[in-house]
Amino acid sequence: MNNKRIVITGIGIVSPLGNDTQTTWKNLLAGKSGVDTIKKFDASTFTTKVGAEVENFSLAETTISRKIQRYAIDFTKYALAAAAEAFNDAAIRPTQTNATRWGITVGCGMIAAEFDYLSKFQQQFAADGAVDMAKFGKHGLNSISASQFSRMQSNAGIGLLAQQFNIQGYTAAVHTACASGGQGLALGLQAIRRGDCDYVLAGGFDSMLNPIGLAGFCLLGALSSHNETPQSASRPFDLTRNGFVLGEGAAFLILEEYNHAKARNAKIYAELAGEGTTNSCYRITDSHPDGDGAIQAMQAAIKDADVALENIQYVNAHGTSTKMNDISETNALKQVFGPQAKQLAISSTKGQIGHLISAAGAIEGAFTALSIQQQKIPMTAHLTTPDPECDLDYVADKPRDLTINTAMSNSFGFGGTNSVLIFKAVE
Amino acid sequence: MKQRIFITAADCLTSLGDNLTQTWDSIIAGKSGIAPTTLWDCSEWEYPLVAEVKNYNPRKMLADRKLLKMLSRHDVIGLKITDDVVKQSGLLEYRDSLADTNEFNFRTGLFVASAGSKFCQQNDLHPLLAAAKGDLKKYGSAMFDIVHPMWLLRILSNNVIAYAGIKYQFRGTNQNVVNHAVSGIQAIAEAQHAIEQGVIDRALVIGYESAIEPEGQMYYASMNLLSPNRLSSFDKTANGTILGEGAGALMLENQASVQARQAPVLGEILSSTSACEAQGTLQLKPNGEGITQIMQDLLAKAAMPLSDLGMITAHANANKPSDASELSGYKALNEAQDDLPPITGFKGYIGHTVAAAGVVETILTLKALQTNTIPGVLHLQQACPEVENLKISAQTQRPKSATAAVINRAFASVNAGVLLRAEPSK
Repeated sequence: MNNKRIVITGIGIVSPLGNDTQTTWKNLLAGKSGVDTIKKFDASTFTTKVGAEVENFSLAETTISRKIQRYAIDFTKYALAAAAEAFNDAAIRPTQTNATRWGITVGCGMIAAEFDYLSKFQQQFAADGAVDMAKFGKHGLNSISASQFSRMQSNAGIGLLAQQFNIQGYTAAVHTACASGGQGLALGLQAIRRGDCDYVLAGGFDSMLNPIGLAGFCLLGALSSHNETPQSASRPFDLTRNGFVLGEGAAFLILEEYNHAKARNAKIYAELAGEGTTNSCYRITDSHPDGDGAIQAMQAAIKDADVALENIQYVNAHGTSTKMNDISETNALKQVFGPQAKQLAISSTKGQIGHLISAAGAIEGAFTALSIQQQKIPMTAHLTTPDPECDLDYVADKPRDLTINTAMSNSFGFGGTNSVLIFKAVE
Repeated sequence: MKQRIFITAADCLTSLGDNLTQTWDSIIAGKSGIAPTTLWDCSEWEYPLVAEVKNYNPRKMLADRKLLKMLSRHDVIGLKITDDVVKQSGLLEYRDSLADTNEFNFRTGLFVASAGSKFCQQNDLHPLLAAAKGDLKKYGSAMFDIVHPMWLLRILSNNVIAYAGIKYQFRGTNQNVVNHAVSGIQAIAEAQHAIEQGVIDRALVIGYESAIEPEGQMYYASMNLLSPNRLSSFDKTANGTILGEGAGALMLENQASVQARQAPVLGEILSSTSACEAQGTLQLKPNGEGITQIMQDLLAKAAMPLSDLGMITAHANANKPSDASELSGYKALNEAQDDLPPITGFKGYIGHTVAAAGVVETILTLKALQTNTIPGVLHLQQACPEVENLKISAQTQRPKSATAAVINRAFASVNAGVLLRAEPSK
């Protein structure tokens, strides 16, 4: 039993519903959809033409230096903006004396090759579709700049975040597909608990909304094909759901020990009270129909947080809007909560923001903390045709006011990693 | 009471051999696995040198041939070493003897260090891009005819966790660390933490990498990070690193798990740490204070004085600013340098295996301690000025004790280290 309490004192969000926390949350509760026909590139011949894009985003040089921006791919810029907001919100920053006690833990995206760069490379060195190694060997040295090279690195994002905000302690980047963001928060929790850090910037950032990422998911047949009704293309737990919608964005939380937060009179959103991670060991893309793997992750998180089942009122579901996930998650919740599952308020925010992949767990963790702070649950949008196999209370009609002491946030990834977080209200 | 973390199985696959024994014998013989690549025609390449796994044959390395369609070269190497170490550990035989294997599986974790992205993903898209000729409409409509439908799955960076999990049903907590060249050390560290905190009883730690793709090779060279001739750490002539491929795996267990199955103990993880210099992607502080910080933290966590440390396996990537600042960092630990132990580096032998480096170099360090033999630094002929007063040699040295620190450095100016103790070799 760990007696350290870790609380959330700052939140920053860049999402398809807004480029800060307040706008995102307001639009989420207003039932707006961030999903639309893709505008960033011509996706008209892709099998899925819809996505949840970040819009009207710009990063002020007063917030993030031009030099750092030059080394940042788009989704890293989202991360820099979200992190800056989280620091401002928490009213605390690393100083010269405590920078080594600050950590950064992130779930980060996988594909860092920029489409424009890849196209240029192909035209220059792979004109017929195969790389001309002799030509590349002769002329390749001048084909990339330091900033392009840096942007491609898997840990470029945390490097820039650490540099911008002078974070000099524990620094971790993980990628377990859609569970990454949840793991980013869980790593931060553990780093403070074991004493490696006093404060952590924890979160996730990603965008696969580009011709490379979208092609990958179209080829797999994993995406919604409701192209004619883009705003409701993501419809978790609805009978007519047929895949998820790719989203993009970033979310960061400032985590610190409760006593520190109280001592400095910080605003506290909620306590990050526990985490559980398991491996489903079933199939690479499918979750087990009975919820096996997810069940044990939820149980582990509940045990870690030392909460009684009956004290959990709300679940921010993974709820991807795929046939398989939504049934599997429903069955897992029934298995974990038993008869109480029917009393739970469950919602998936992916109906409005799409699936942010490596950032999903982080933004949904932020929503869960906001739900506790404001005692208000976002709805599951576009659930109009109930699925008999998904027969729990998914908060389908509108956001709901509810007394929430404890809430759970689920993230389940391709490859089988399940990450579950428990948040508690702080009195 | 803090749990002790024991190493009960370890092996690696490198450019010098299919296993630890072959790799170690070659190192002791002063051989290097570095040579011009055989993977593409490098006759026009100014930087042709790589440390390639020599007997790469996926059909021989993995029994499941159907699976090969879903895997990259990286994954094959990672899964091969996974099979070898699981077999060596005897864990499955013990599990089979249990009445209830479910709890055992959920008390067993997987911690993997992997490349966050693979350049092979790009090559698979070039035919589509060529056909589309810059027209996204054509790109969108032709993708199903040209690109394999499972393309995205082949490039997932968490494939080894996924397939090792499915095969062995190790279902406990897990992480796929993608933090460049400190990934391996951090995977060991995270496994250590999870066992210490009682979340799991044992963990398989895997580091794997194939950093020898043409694009990576060229891009590293563009940044002046590669050497065109040799990897000569700490030498005046050092002019860059050489990329390699390989994998290593360690089985870590708590004392109860070791005792329950009477597992042989190879060594112990004493402490681990990581920290960031906050200098951006490619820069490092020249004074090495990040390295000093890592070493001090490692020793403090293990409550060990510097004078008791047996040896240091340095990052030693033969990049001049990195090597120089690393050595300055060690020197700052002890003004007279008399407490500092012998220091070596393995990259001259096996190249820079990036995400796998931490795990592979920890395994080689364990072997050095077990055999009381610290290999000399390969190609060290004229030591750079920072070597002065340090115990760094081209010749074999002896460790001062059975403990060692293994240090790695990564892009994003992250440093990480692990402190270990070896059991005497039997």
